Amino acid sequence: MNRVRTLHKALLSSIAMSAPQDRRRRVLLIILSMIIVGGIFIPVIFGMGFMVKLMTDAMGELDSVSSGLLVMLHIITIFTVVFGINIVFSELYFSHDIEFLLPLPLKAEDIVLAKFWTIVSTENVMQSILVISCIIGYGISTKMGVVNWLCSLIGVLTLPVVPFAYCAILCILIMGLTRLVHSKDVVMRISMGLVFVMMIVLVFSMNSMQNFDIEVFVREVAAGEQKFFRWMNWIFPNVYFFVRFMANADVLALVYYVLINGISLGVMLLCARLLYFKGVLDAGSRAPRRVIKDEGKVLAKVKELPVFWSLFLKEVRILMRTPVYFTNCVIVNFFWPVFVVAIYKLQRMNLGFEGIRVLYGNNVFTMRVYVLFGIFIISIIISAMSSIASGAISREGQYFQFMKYIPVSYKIQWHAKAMTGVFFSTLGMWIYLIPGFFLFSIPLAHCLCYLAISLASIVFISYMGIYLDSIQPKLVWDDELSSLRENYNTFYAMGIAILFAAIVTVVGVLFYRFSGKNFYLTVLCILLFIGLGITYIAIRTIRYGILNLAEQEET
Amino acid sequence: MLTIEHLSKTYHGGVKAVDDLSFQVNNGEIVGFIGLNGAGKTTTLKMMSGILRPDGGHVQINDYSMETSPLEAKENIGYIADSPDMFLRLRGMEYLNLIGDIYKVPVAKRKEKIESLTKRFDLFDALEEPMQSYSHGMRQKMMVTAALLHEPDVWILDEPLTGLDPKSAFALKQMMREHADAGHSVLFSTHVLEVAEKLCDRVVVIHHGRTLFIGTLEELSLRYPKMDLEQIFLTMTKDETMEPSSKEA
Repeated sequence: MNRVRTLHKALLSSIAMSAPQDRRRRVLLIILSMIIVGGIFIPVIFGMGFMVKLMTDAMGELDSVSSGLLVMLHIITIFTVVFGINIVFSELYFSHDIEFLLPLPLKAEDIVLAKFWTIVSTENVMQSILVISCIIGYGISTKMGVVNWLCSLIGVLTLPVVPFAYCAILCILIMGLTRLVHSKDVVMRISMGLVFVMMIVLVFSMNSMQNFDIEVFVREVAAGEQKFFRWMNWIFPNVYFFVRFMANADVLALVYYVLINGISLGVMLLCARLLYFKGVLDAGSRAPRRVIKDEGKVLAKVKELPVFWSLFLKEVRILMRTPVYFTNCVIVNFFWPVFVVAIYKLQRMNLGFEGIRVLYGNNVFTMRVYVLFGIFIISIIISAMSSIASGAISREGQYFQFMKYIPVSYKIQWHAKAMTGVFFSTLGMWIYLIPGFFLFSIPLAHCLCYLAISLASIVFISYMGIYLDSIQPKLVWDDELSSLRENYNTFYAMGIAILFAAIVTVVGVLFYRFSGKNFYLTVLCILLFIGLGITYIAIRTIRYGILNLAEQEET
Repeated sequence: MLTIEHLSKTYHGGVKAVDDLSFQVNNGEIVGFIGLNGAGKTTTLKMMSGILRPDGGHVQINDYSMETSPLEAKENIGYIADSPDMFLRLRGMEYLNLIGDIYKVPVAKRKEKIESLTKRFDLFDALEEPMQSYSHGMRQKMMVTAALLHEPDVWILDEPLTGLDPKSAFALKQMMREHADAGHSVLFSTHVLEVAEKLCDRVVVIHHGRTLFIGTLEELSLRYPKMDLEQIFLTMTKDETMEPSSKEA
């Protein structure tokens, strides 16, 4: 057990983000952390908690107070499995440290257990925030006692154990018994497929929501007859027993909960003992065959480009060809219509294209303002979420020194990186907006306003993102996924994007009201605000950003 | 020509990696940079190439100071890093095109250099492959090709022979000699004393970031009679109190 603990500590310390050395950057990071807490964590805790409270209140009337909490914890667990499988695959089979661990006299179970605890420790941060939010909502609604609050701590700390153990068992079985996965890229494609399936299910379920009767659904959940969640109780019994234990301080439920955790870990370790080394060794010998291209055409590919475009193209190629970046940074820009359609469906509206055209034409329900702020908020959030700019320097990792020794000014390199973010986010927005404008017969002047707002907000957050990443980039990482997962700069960018979007929206809406509902003046007002934001970030980039880059060393 | 004067670097945490280092690599000579692991070789080379900022001292590449004209200084350098794992998602040709664009190498010249260098290193057939599929040696050869693409005046090579097969190692050593003979400067770090013995016009031996010796191997042999290079090196790095025997003018 000591060996597992030592290994776990070593693995954990290797993924920690280093702290900046100078006071200016330390202070800035503290401020940014506070923005994250205020802009992301508190709204998430408040939102989730409020939702669970509402559900608990509703279920309470049907004598099933804990069903709301159970439903939410099951949903969190499903997400843990879907997003966790990729992380577990990478950590167990494709991390660079494996080739150093294999020659050591360690048992397969020791390696798997140490890596497993590392995954649980690092991934539990976000999940525990969500679990705490749910418990707070439930606790307030049921006026939970001190004992129950204490019981809830067990769940906060241990709920991810079973879903991650399932992921680990699945990975070990796939790697040990099949030859399906030969590289991290294949893993990424599998998890990308899973996310796509989830999205399709989401769209279809939203589509069927028009015939959805919430009262029937609530009654079924409360009576324990809702098929999906009944299945979930069987698949993730740990969630079911945890909720029973926490809600009723039921000791027998706690015994079952501990037993289920123990069994899942036991099965994982048994699989590891039997199959882990086989899978790891096989993974190293499954490289795809090399294809030799036509020699005559090779030299024809020698082409000259201006250095900015060449650096830009390098960024694009790396983003497109690295599956982790492709899904987390590129694809994320193109998913937003799914959520717009989902929200539209949940409103139970069925206006059709003609209906929307008429509503927009007559500005019914001040629809133009909704569209305006909708486009602004989506553009800025999507751009921040994509982390293309806020991870641009961190993504260099061990290649960071390249930026330092090439004879290209940091300013050009900075612009090339920022423009990559602008390119993908703008493409992700405009590819839907422009056909949408034609579809709904939006006047040309309005189209130009929307496109300008979208572009300006993307430019602002992209330059903000790269500036944030320059303060303390995460340059030491084991694989590409870690460069995103362990990099807090994306969170900082998200926090600022949410805060900025909220401020501009409030100011813009007030301005619209007090300017006699003048659409164009409101657009101008928003553009002015974004312009101020861009000017501010341009000044900070020139004064500090480039300096950050020049002073940044590899560690 | 490459000149460093009173170069110093202390890492965060107080580790003094390079301590008041001064030497010069003249046109037409190959200088071997020798030292134990952790002696400060890579840190020095990284300061010379602009990757690390020195705490004190100056780096001069031909007429350009790395401090005041970094871009011009960097244009005169061909640098090979200690790790050849660079942008592995790019294809070999894409990487060389990127380097060509950065150093503004005209297309015709670029074609000629790519063809000659990659054929010399048996790399031409792999140019259309992603560098991820290359072996360590192939990646190293790609880094050498890229570093020499713009025909830099000063070569700064950090362990350039590591991972190369005998044929490629021979080709690179030959190229280093040709480059020096054409009136340019080559500085390379190595652990392999035999390579230094055969290839270098002068050597710089450093230990704990400080110079132990600068001069020709003959001068070194005179100081330690009846010893081979390996014995001399072990003796020198054991005796840390020894003062530098000669300095650049």
